[in-house]
This record gives sequence, structure tokens and C-alpha cells, in this order.
Amino acid sequence: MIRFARILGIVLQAAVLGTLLFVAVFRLAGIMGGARVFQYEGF
Amino acid sequence: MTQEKKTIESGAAVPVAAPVKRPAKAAPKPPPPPTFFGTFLQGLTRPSLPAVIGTLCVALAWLAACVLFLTPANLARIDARYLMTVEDDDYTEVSLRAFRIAAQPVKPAFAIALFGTSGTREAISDEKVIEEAVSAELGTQAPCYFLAAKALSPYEMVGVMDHISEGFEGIVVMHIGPNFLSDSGEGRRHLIDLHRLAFQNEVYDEELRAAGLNPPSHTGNYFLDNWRFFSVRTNDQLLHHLIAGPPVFKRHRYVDKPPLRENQRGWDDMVATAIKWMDEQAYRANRQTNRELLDRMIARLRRNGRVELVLVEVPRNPVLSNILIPPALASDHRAFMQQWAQQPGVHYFELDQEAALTADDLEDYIHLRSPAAQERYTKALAQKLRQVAAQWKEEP
Repeated sequence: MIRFARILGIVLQAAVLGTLLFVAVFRLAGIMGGARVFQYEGF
Repeated sequence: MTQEKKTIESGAAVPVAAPVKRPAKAAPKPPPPPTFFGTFLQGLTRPSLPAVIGTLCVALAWLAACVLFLTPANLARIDARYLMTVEDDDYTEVSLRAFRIAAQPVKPAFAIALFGTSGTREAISDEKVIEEAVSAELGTQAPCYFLAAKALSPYEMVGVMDHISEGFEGIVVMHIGPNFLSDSGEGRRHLIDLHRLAFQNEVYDEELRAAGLNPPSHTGNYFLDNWRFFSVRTNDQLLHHLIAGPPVFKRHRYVDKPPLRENQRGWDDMVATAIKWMDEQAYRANRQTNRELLDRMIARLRRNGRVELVLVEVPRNPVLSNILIPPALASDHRAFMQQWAQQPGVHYFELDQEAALTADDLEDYIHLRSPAAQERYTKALAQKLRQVAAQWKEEP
């Protein structure tokens, strides 16, 4: 049971950090690649 | 030290203190047995090799999930408006509409695809008015696909049309005007980097190449080819929408705004912008190229079915139009359009007079601000499309 608690903690840590890592790298790659939402400057 | 030495030398007995009995030292307490929650917290918060490996695996799993499951067909199935950065993100809206149209299992026998820019978006009160008028004429349901977006370029329109072209038969309506025909490929170089729409296709690339641009090569995987569109929309707004629900798309953004004419400074700024925008030289240099672009689009569509092209002038502020478009250019443009409409299956309409538009119906140059004017304009367009549908019925 105790072993299970530790695994559960590690899994949750990996899920949260893995998601944040993916979002951060994905967003950063977009910024570095020049992606931006188009803003029209005319009408 | 000296006193002690003397005592030893004198031979006197030195009293020995009795050993003090100290209480026996208590045995150390065994640590409390680890609790489930304590161990869980340790696993959750302490860095460890398994956690690092797990983190990398989860990040890669997200990437794999995007590559495998983020497809136009899946986006058509869900309400992907979560992706809208703002409630007026036209490009997400048009992309999602195109995905839904393309994913329809049964294609309608007759449909209307209405393309345009922000002028179109503001001019049409509701596409259902057009749908009902044409359906009544044909005696069958004729859906109207509304595919207008802010400053949508002719190249993007052709790309969107190609995306929904499978099984398409009916009318393609293009809201057009001198500004639209001034569009040059060179001026659209930024489109390649921006990825405004959530898809690209071979036809879009072909047209960009024909315009002298160099579109990026594709991997064949939807997500990998369009990741920039999604990357730019992965932000705090996405999180907000995931919690609060997708935003409602805000279509008419000029309704009930006061006309700019009432504000001298705003009017002067707008005239200055519009003068830069309407470049006669660019119009004359590019109108034939843009006509050929649309002609190629219609020719491609006609390989699979019958398609009519309806060219409609975008509503224009009569006061500003007289300043920006000299009478000679206006009549030259009209002659160009009428000559274009001589082609079989091409129709050309100007609706400003029929819809009785006045300068106060528009906020600036091309954006209608009055709901009543929007209704008049939409009814006038619906009437014209009904006539085209009637001809269609007569000449099978």
C-alpha cells in the first residue's frame, strides 16, 4: 500500500510536470518560430 | 593545578566522590510508520529519477496524442471554439466551419458558399435569409456556408473552397471590390509565416507558388503541418475557455457604433488609412491576376459538378467611395467586372442602391453599422441568388 502511495505521487508529479513541459516547449517553439495571431492594421 | 599537586605530595588521602548514578538513557523512539498520505506527498514533491523519466514520457505522450488525434475530422466533431484567442477570432471560426462542412457525410444537392472579408461579415445580417430564399426557389434545402473573415485574402478563400470542394455543387459568392482585386501575392508574403487558417492544402500552395511565393513543404501530418496555428492559441485564454466554456463567436462588431463622420479626428484618420489601402496602381497591376485566380478555382470546382460564380460588390460608404475611387476608375472597374460576368456561369451584382445604403449606415468605409441596413442588404443579395438559382433550375 505504501509503495502504491509513492508510485501514485510520482505518477501525479510526472503528469503535471510533463503537461507543463509540453505546453511550455510548444508555446516557446511557436514564439521562436514567429507564430502570432494576425492583427489587421487597416480596416 | 598547583593545589592538587601539593595534596598528592603530602600523602593525605584524597576523598573519592561516590559515582553519581545517572538514570538509564531511554532507548531511541522508533520512527513512526510511514503513512499513506506522507509517502504520497514524498513521491509527489521530491525529485527523483522515475519522476524525471515520467515527466519526459508524459510530454512525449501529449505530442503523440496531438499528432494522432488532432485532425480536421476530430476538430469538426468537438466544439473547438476553445481555441479562439478572442471572441472575434474569425480565422478559427472559418477553419472550424470548413472542417464541419467537409466532414458532412451526405453532401447537399445544392449549396451556397459565401466568401468575403470583414465588410461581408458586417453586411450579412444572417445567412439563413439567403438559405431560405434559395431553398424556397429550388424546393430543396440549400445550406449557405458563411466563410467570411477579416482581411481574408483571395489565396485563403481558394484554399478554404478547396477544403470543402468534395461533392460541392451550387453557388460560390465572392464579395469583391477594387481593394480585393488589388491584392498581390507579394503583399501576402506574411501569410506563409502567419498560418491564419487551421489548414493548408495543395491548391493553396499551388496558388501561392503561382504568385511567386514559396510555401513551406509539408510532412503530411495535419498537426505537424499546422502546429503554429495551435501553438499561438495555447495561452491563458485557452485555459480560461477550458474552465468557463468556449466563447460565443461575436460576428457583428460594428452594430450601433456611431458613424465615424460624427468624429472629425476619427474620420480623418480613417480617410488617411483608406487612401493608403486603395492603391489604383496596385489595382490595375493585380486585378487580372486575381480574376485568373478565381477563374482557376471555379474551373477546378466544375470538374466535379456544376458551380456558378457570383461576384458581389462589397457595400461601400458613398461619401468615402467618391473620395477614394475616382469616377474614371469606378467606371473602369464596373466595365472590368461586367466583362468578367460575360463568361458563362459568372454573375455580377452591385447592391448598394438596391439596399438603399446611405453614408450613415456604415461606420467607416465598408462596415455596415445599422441592423436595418444589414437586413436590407442581405435581402437584396438573397433576391439575386434566388434569381441565379431559378436559372439553375431552368437550365439543368
